[in-house]
Formats: sequence, structure tokens, C-alpha cells
Amino acid sequence: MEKFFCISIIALGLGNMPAFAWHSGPGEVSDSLVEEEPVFANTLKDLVVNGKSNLEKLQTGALNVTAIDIKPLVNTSATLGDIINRAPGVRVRSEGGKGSDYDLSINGMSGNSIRYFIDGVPLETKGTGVNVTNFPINLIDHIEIYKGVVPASLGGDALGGAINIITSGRKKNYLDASVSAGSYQTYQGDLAGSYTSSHGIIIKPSLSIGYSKNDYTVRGVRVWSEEDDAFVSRDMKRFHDRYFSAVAQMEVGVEKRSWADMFFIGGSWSEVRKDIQTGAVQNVVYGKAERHTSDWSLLLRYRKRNLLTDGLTVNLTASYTNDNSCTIDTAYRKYSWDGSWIPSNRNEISGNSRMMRHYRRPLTVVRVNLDYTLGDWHSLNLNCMVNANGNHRYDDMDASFEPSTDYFTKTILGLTYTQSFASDRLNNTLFIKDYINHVKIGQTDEYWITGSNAMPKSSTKQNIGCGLGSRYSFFDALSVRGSYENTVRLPLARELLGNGTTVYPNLRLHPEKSHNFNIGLFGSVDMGEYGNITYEGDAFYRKIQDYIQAKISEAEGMMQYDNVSNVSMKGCEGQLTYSYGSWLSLSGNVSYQLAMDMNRLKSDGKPSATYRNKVPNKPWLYGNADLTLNFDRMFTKDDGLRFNYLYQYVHWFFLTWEGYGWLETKSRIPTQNMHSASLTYSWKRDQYNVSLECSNIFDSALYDNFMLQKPGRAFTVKFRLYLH
Amino acid sequence: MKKSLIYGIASLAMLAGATACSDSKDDPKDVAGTPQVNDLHFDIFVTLDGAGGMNSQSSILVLSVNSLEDKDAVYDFVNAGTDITASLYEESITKGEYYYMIPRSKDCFGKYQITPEGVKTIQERPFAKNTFKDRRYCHAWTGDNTLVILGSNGDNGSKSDKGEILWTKYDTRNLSIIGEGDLGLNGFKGKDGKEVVYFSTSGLARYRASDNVIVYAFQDKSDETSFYVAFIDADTMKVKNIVNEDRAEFMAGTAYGELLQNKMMVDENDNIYIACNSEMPDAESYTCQYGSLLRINNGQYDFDKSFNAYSGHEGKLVTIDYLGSGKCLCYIQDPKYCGLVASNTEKAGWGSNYNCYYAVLDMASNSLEPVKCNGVNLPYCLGTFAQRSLVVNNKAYIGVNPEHSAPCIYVMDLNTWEVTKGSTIADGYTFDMIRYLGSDK
Repeated sequence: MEKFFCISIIALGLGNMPAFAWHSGPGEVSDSLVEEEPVFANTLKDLVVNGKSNLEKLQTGALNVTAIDIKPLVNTSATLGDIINRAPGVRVRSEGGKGSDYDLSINGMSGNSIRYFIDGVPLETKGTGVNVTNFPINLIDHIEIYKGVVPASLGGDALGGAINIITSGRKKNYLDASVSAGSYQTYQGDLAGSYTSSHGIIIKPSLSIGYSKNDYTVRGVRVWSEEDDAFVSRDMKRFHDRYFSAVAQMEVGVEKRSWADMFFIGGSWSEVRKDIQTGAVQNVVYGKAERHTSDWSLLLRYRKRNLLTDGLTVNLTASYTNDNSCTIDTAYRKYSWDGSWIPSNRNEISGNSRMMRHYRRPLTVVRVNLDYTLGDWHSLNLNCMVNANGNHRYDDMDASFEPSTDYFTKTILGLTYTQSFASDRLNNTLFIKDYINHVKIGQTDEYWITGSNAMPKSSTKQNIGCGLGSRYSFFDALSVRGSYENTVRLPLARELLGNGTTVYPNLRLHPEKSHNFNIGLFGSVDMGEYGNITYEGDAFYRKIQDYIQAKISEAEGMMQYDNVSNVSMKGCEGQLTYSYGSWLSLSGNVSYQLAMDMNRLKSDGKPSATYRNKVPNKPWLYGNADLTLNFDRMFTKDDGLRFNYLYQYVHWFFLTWEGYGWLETKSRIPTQNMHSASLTYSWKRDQYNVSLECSNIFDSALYDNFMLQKPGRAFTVKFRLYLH
Repeated sequence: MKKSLIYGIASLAMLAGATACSDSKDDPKDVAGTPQVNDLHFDIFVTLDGAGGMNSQSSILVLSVNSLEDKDAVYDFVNAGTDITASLYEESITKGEYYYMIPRSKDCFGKYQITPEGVKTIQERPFAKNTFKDRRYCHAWTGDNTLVILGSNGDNGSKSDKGEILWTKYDTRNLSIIGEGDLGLNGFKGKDGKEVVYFSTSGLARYRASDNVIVYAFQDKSDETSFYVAFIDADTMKVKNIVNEDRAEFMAGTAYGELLQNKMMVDENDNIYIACNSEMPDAESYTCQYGSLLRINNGQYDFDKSFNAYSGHEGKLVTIDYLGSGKCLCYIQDPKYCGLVASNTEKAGWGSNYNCYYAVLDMASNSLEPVKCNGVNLPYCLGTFAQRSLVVNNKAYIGVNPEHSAPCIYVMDLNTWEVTKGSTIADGYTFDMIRYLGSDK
């Protein structure tokens, strides 16, 4: 029952998305776009095509997925993390300004319950220095946010969801370059391109360099006053928070050969240098400590359709990553927020000896994906991902530090069967996953914190997971969907082995397990000349065992991940978007979630007071509102002006358990009201673009975490050149 | 009549030095060597979602109560208690009405009150010359308003620096720094002539008023077969003498001083006692230990080598409190005694388990008697980083954390040695600590 319709995907109210017709499945790089020329929102006119795009299929499929088109935002200075943070059910809790550490959650699940992929391959293959705060967005076509139920084809062990970054499949020669400058001495330059030689050799270079001094003002920090003979509250500028990031990559390959539809080899390199300004709370201030990350990787990608038989597509990816990080804490100084210091007898972070601690984490990832299509309505997908990670630690300064080497390997097998009936009105997906991990532990220091003495030196564990999803479309205005997954998440290297600075290892961590349920409805109402309304509402329930949560450690003002055992998470989210032609889009979403401690007993076997209490230190009510106006042909026939206003709200929440202790003595993370606006002018069919932005317009003191203030009002100007 | 008879028998038993339970009250008289305060009240510390202390990440609630003796009282923390999680630690020093500690901001030494309205900062003093690590220092009161804190400089063997023990002396009325410096232990050569570069984090300290000396126990962390005691002139802070003690491998606490747990005690004759432990021979794990209670006699600059009150007893000494009359209250981790293992050399019974109990040690006779109420031993407890006992105003308050009932407090009258059941802490919390506050008599 094909029909003509207008693709007008509203991505979180960010404007109408350009329409593409994909030929690849979720998690794969598209290599065949209906449009050869990228079209951007401010110049896009509704495109009439025959059939649904794969992007829309994804959003309207059986699983709860939010797809966000990046292209309308390439002209702005938004980072990938900023963009993801606008999606319903998603929160990115940032610890500070540009390049700061962050914690991402989907439907309330811990940020590290979320797996990140780039074209179906773990993002960590780029090295730990590359993340959603510095990944060049001009390389991205769109992102897919899977909530709760993650397709087996991704090969991940995500418990709460996954984010799959799909890079652009632009094939023509192009050059995409941009520079931006903003408040707090923030600069960013991005360069990406593609060149195809006369022999069909494709070269894809990219380079992204960012810097920020992050010297924004922090409100109400403690500064000693001789006059008052007391600490007084002052607004002070951050003075040791510089961040530098350089990410480069190059791919060379060919396409459409007899032996390969696509074959690329490439490499990437990244360098991140970051000052460390504070501990887990901003009252603990540092002035010299730094963290350096230096990574390089080699990558091979291969794809061939109809390899041995019609309908069988093989995708092969192999990578090796040399991931190095070093924490340098050699200055025996005690800093204050006014930048003054006194000589100290200990390092800043842990209060021990001078430290120059190295972490070398070699990572090898091999992914094999076989996709077999049986006619038009059935397909089978077999995915195997092998991930081998090492963790070598040594210290150049601290003689008492014992070097160690830990290994862990995980293999995840996934088999998916997908079927469609009734002209795709009914769509079903079933999958099964096998998680196997192997851990070898060498570190024995601080065993009372890390638990290394309680763990076998070498162990292998296996877990089985499965899931299904179903969607039925009554008509365009009403579709219903439901999905379930019994999933397992193996601890991340950071959770298990720490980060060497602010996160302790916890070798006692168990894999998280969860039963994830989603149910939702969605639809689109075309009101003709009065515009278009799309809506989406979902409810979810998660029953998590051995839930892993980051906690502030009393010991050092540091953090450590721990199994909180049993937690249930339930909630709902909704999004409503109204669009009027191509020039107006108004969108809003609200997310509510309730995480409950479901441990009847404490670790000592006695009843727990927090049983069925709300898990603290988690945002539970938040939302976004977004207005976008597009004005085409402002001054010439191929220019456009785009205005965007974004409002983000996060309701306050308690730092500690609600309902215990006198209310007035309890610490809270206050309500956030953040307003941002941007104005983008493009001309010459998007070849030239200038964007002016203001974030946190009202200069509010914003906190995602207790006593870790985010930047105040910031202005940014960005120029982008896109030659194609 | 029958009841009176029972009380009478129990009183007689108490007089004989036994620790039985009764409701009878005798006229109190001050027990020599134990604290006496006016306006006595107590702060009960509990944690949610886990135990406090060490590297705990739990929420800490503090409830102030006037009495722990009301057996009908059940203290609950639902919408009650001060939540100090964000600002303070359990590890603290108390005297009079105040808490003293390096707070979570780690930038100062502070004087605080915990009130129903929240944490009240009385005075804070940023570090001047010496910087200490939060929760990793020990202390000694050398006068009513003079507090000395000591701790290692944090250098545990870096290639460019050497360890040292730092001290800072505060006037606690306004927390002004009276003086600060180091003990000059950089370059100190240990028992075998080897230079000590890696000192225990905090060590333990007590003040001996009779000769104005701070007794400071510390350890060479690279040689955990013995430990040292430095005798420090409290005025000049000069080390007068250092002795080595190898009858025990280490003090019962080396990292957190006595900020949470009592590891030293002083009797009415100004003799100082140090709880010590050693790894059991042929043990499956380092955690399998046995205790020693060693003494430094008044005026002496070395241990009394003839004294080890705990000799021959099994179990690791966790805390000690002086009860007067040459007796002390011991909190002992002893899996074998608690019926968990056949031998304490087995690792299985140690760790987080109901493997601790309270006993009264008569140091003269070296007899160890479990604390009983109504002729029944107090229940076994879980938790070796807790201080649920204290001694004040002629009574010992003994908090237990039993496996099969709610935590509660027993009260031992030090005049009669009677033990009665006191208040209860509602189930659901981890009962970590009680502190008393009041003005010194």
C-alpha cells in the first residue's frame, strides 16, 4: 500500500529534516542516498518521494528509537552531547564546561549503561579521548537513540539503551570547514572532506581541533577572608580548566567493486589535554593537576552484498586502538578558588605522593555482521562482536605504586529475525544475544576499595539475553508499539578499572541485568494548509539487578561505581511537534522517571530503610521546548535565515535519600531553567553559513551535579564553508 | 517480692564483678579515669544504603537525643536527623559541644555543631603551612582548649621526596594556629638501621598530662612486623625518645587516628594503653588477626614489657574504652567465638559478618568476660569500622548491631556493673556511631 507522502521528519523540533532514502539497515553506513546533494533545513522544501525512508522506518519501527538529524545543526556550535541532551528521555549531566566529563542517561539508566557506537562499531575504538563532547559533528549524518531495547545487530551489551552515530555517506567531492569562537576563550575548528580520484580511490580526511579556557564564573565558592576571619562566599573565575582536543582521521578505500561494495582502511589519532579544576564537588579545588589522553587507531571496513547467495550481505569491521592516558599530579600545592596556593605535602587529587600515572588500554574490536533477506518481508541478522581490552598501569613518580596489567574480553553474539505483515502494518522483531566476558586482574593496591583481594585473578562468565518488539499501524495518525528485552550489561573499563584520577576501580562489580519493557503510540496528523502535528508517547519499565551507579566516595572526594543491586525504573515521556510548512516548527517534550530501590535487605542481611524509596541524585522530571523559524530567500533566491530558541528544564532533586533526615538539612541539586537561542544565515545554497548563538541567556547558575556549576551565559559565532 | 529478690541477686553478682542485667539503681559516684560532663546528650550516627567510615559512600544522618537509657524509645530517621552527607564526615573529634574535623571541602580544619537546622560552622581555619588529608590524622588534647593534630605528609615513597610526620596545634576557642611543624622524622632510621620513608598515614596519639608528653604511635609501612612510639614534648613538639615495639605487628588503627574509633585509653594513673593486632601465624589471609593490649606506664618512655593484658585471648581488638577499676570494654572481632569458623586462621569467618562481640577485660587478672544482660551474652555484631560504645558519667553505653533484631544500646553502670537494655535504633539503618556532647565538669 504505497502512497506518496511528504517526508517531514521533525527531529525534536529542530526543524524539518532533510529527506533521505536509505538502503542500509540500522547501524550501517548509508551508501546510497536518494539525494546526492545534501540539503539543509533552512533551504529544504518538502520532498515528495515514493515510500518511507529508512530513517523514518527506524523511528516508526517496533523499537523505541529517536532519530535525530544532525545536518540542520551543523551550522551551530552545538556538540553532539548538546544535541542528544534535547531528546526525550535523555539527560546529559555535565560536570562543567567544554570538554568536561559527563554522564549520559536514557530513561533514567546510568550513563554508563548506555553504549555508544559509530556506524555500528563501539565508539571506544576511537580511543577514550573521543566522545560526544568532541566528536566532529560535520562528519555525522544522524544519530539513533535506542531506549531500553537495543537491536542485536549493534552487538552491544547496553542495559539502558544505545546511541549509534551514523556518519555521512556523502560521496561526491566536498570540503566542509568551519571555525567558531566563543565566550570563555572557546575556539573550535573542523575540517572534513572527501575526494575521489579518477581511479575511483576515495580519500576521506577530517580534522577537528577545539580549545577552551573554560574560565567562566562559578557562584558562591569558598574563599578565605582575613577580614572576616572566615570563609566567605564569592563568585570566582575558574582558573585551571583549559581543554584542548585534536581529533584527526583518514580513510582510503574504494566502492562498488566486484569484490566489495565498500572497502576502507584508515586510521585516527586524537590528543586531549585537560586541566583538572575540581574534585567531585567544586569546594575541592585543584590548580595544577592535568589529564592527558593520546590515542591512535587503525580501522578496516568491508561490505559485500549478495556474497554467496542473493540477499546475503556481509559487513566486517576490525580495529585496533592504542589508548593512552596519563594523570599528572606532581605539584605539592593546596589551591584556593582565588588562585592562591600554599605549599603542600601531598598531591592534589588523592592526597598522596607525586603522581604521574599512566594507563595504557589497548583495544581490539572485531565485528562480523551477516544479514540475510528472505523476500520482502523477512530477514535474519547474525552479529558477532569481539572486544578485547587491556589495562596496563604504571607510575613514573610514585615508587609505592605497583604496576599492574588487567585484561578483559567480551564476546557478544546476536541473532535477529525480523518480519513484516499486512503491507508492513505489522512489524515484528525477535532477537537473542549471548554475552561472554573474561577478566584477568593484576592490580592489588587499595584492595579495600577495589575489592581485588576478593576476586579470582582470572574468570569467564556467560549470560544469555533475548528480546522482541512489535509495531502495528492502524493508520498514519495512530500506531502502537511494544518491545521487551532481557538484557545484560558488562561493566565498562572505566567502571571496573577506574580512570586513574577521579574514579576508583571496583573489581567487585557484577554485570547489570535488566528486564526492559516499552510501550508507546505515535502518529502524524496532516492538517493540510494548517500544518502538521506529530506526536509520540512512550511508557517504560525497567527491572534492574546489580544496577551500577556512580557514587561520590567519602574517602577522597572521588567517585566509584558500585552495584546498587535491585532497582526498578518506570516512567513515561512524550513529545509533540507542530510544523507549519517549512518555516515554523514548535516542539516540546517531557520526561518523567522514577527509580526505586528494590532491595529489601541491606548487605548485612537486615531490612533496608531505603526499600521502595526513590534512588537519590537522579533527575526525575525534565523537558525541552524548541521553536525554529526558517526564512528562505531573504535577500537572494538561494539564501536562508534560521532562528532557534531552546528552553530546557530540569526539576530539582535530592542528593541523598528522600524522606530521611530533616528536610531543611538535606542537600538538593536545584532546578535548572536554561534558555538558548541561535540565528543562522546561509547563502549560496549553504556554501556559506554564519551562526550567532547565546546559551544560558539569563546567566543562571546551572547544576547537573551537586556543587559542580556549569557555564554561565556564553556567546558563540561560527562560520562554516561547505564546498560541494 | 520475687522481683526484688531477682534484683538483689543481680546486684550481688555485679558487686562480684560480673556483668549481669538489672533495673536497680545505686547512688552514682564518679568512676576514676572516666569522663564526667554536664548537660549530657548524645548524637546517634546512622548511614543509609551501607556502612559509614572507610571509603563509604553512604548518606549520613545524625540524631541528637537526651538519653540512651529509655528502653521504650525507638529512634527513627524518617524525616528526622541532620543530613551531614554533603559537608561533614563521621570521622571527627568531639569535645564539649563541638565537632572538630577537616570537612569535605578539605581546605581547612573546622569547628562545627550539628543541629536540627543543619551543620553550623563555628569557626574554620585554612591550612597555613601544613596540609593534612581529610580523615587521615590523629589528635591529642594537650589542654582544655589546645588540640594537636598529627599525620604523615602523604609522601609514601615518591622518587623525589621522603616521608615526614606533620603537626599543627590549635587553640580551639577560635581555631587559631598556635604552632605547626614536623617531628623531624625525615631520615629516621628504624630498628634495623634502615631509613623509614613511608610512614603510616595517621598513627595514634594521646596526651600524658603527668609529664606533658604526647605519645605518638606510628609504623613503617614498608616493614609491618613492628611499630614505633615517639614521646613528644607537648610544648616544644620535640621528639624526646622513640622506641620500637615488636610484640605486636601494628596498632589497631594506623590510618584514621581515633577520629571514629577508640584505639587508645588512659587510666586514672595516667598509664596509656594501645590496642594492637598481629597477623595470625599460618592464617589464610592477612585479615586473620589476634590482638594485644600494651601499656606505657606513667612517666616511662618505653612499653611495660611485662604487660600484655590481652595475652592468650583470641580475636582482633577493634575498639577499647577504659571503664575504671583497671577494666576496659573491648569490642572484639572473633569469628571462632561467634561460631562462624572452627579456627580463626580460616579467612571465611572474617570480613563483613556477625563476628564481633563486647567483653570486659580485667587487666589485672587478664580475664575476659563477655558483656551479658540478664545472664545472656549481648548479641554478636557486624561492623569493624564503627564506634557504638562510649563511657561517660559513670556509665558505659554499648551499642549493638545484631543480626536478628534492631540495633539497640545497652547501658552498663560502672558503679554496680549492672547492664540494662536501653534505647533502640529503628531497623533499616546501619548504626555506626554514638558520641556524647556536653560541658566538661
